[in-house]
Amino acid sequence: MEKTLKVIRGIKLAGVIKDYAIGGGIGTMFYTESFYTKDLDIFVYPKLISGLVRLDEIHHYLKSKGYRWKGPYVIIEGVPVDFIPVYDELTQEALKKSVIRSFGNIKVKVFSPEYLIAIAIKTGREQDLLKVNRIIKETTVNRKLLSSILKKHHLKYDLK
Amino acid sequence: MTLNKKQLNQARLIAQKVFKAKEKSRTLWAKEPIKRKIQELIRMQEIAKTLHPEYSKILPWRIKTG
Repeated sequence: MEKTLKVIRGIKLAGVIKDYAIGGGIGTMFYTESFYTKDLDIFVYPKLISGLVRLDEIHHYLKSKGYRWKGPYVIIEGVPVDFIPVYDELTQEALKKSVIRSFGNIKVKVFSPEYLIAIAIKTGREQDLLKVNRIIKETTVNRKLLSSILKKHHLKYDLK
Repeated sequence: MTLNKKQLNQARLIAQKVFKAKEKSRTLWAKEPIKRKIQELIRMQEIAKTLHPEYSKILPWRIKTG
């Protein structure tokens, strides 16, 4: 996994993307007990090409490094990785306010628990709401911050 | 570093494609034999334990020998 993250960091260092942070299941696992998840979700702030959002450059870069695509994801050092562009105000803000965490010997940016919760609530699938409960139960959440994020993005959730 | 409305719409379309493919992949994965699913679970847990040194002590690895 460390090798995977080093490759992803290399994408940023090569200037192919402007920024990135880990979200999704693995992002959640930074704050909770481990659970099954199939892939690593990397939210990216893409480099704009003629003002357009394109992920082609990521694909070309990884292909040039010999990594192959398997359906929706690319296998990087044995780990399936999904690259998802920030796609709304909430994910954009989550990336901007992501936090630095250690992963072995390397530092990575991860969505904060408050934003992971807000994104899960917005997505609203059963599996996402399970993540909300896990995060609330298993880590310290800044409830004031969470409430303000939910209010700002017009999201409603009963925080027990 | 902020995407405008048009760019966010483009990004949303790309993200939706990814999410749709992930959902399809989940459905296909659900049909895999249980043996393969357990092997995959162990593999993913091996990855997860690298998140924190303490994880290796608490993960349900016994599934391997169970």
